Amino acid sequence: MGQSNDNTAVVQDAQPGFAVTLTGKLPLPLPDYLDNGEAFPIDVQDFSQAIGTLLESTLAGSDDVLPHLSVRAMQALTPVTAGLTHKQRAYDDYFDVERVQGGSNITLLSMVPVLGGLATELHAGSSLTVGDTERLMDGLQALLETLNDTSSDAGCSLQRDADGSLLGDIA
Amino acid sequence: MTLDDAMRRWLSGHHVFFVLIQGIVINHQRLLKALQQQDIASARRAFLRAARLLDGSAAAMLLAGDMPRDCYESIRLSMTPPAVPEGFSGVWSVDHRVMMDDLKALKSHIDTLDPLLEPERQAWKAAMDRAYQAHAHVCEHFVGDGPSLAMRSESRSCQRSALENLDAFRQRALALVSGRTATAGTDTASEELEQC
Repeated sequence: MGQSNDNTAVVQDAQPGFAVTLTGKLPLPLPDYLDNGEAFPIDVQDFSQAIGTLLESTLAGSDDVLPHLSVRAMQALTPVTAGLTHKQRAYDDYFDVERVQGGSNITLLSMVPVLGGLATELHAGSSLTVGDTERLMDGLQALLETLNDTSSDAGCSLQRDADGSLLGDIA
Repeated sequence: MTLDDAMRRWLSGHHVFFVLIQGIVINHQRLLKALQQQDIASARRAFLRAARLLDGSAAAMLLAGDMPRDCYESIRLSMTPPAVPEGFSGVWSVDHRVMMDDLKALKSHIDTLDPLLEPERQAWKAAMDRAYQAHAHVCEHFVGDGPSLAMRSESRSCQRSALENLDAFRQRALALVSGRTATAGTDTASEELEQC
């Protein structure tokens, strides 16, 4: 286990658009710890809505509609290097990925910058077919359903700030 | 498209791919648990979600490689020494490693699968095939029948082209999910692939 790393600290006030700023690499959990039932108190319906909006705007050819998704008050993430081979670390480094402590809650957190990056690419224009785009979004929807099951299994309760923003808190 | 645009797309597409692969891993682990417990409903859900995630991952890979060929050549160079260690390959992904380990763990259960789950298994297998074909499509678009990154490393014994390498991975994965019709020799193929 490493120490807290400022590069993956996530602290951002809610604001329009993708409000989470991951200043650095994409945090991902080690796959061995994915289905450990850790709860992450976040409303996946907002993610679903963001995915739906992104799909609709992309298929409509719109370039001015980005999904609204806000997550705030994330704590710093703890990098993990133990258990990774030299080659696995090199692979992660190349793709700007940092393994951090946690389970599928981290995957859910990572969906915020991932969706932001995806929105940028789709609105910049791509040669994906409508079918490809729909399959991409359906895959992300299936991921949300999967992660939602994890939260449900853990008895997670949803939390929402007074102003309606999602409240995520990674211990 | 500038090279910066291309690299951003390459990374963003892979980031989408990575979270989807993690979802696949979760569903494969749930599938294993469900099959061990003979929980048909949970197994059916895991099969179908994994299939949707696999199809999503195929599309993510298409997006990652959606750029002019001249841009990809620069990206390809970024995946060769001295930028990265020799033999850089998708096999180095820890998520891919766990996914393959889970498929091996699933194999005996897939071989003796309840016939009620056969339609879901077939959908899952077909999606896995499409995921590997998407990889091959991107590879073929940019590399043709050229060498894989690992093959470029002179210290390696692998003599497969990039496409041949991908097809070998595809065959290995499909053998693991094909149930009773799977051919023998998966372990041997795995050892050979470790060299590529």
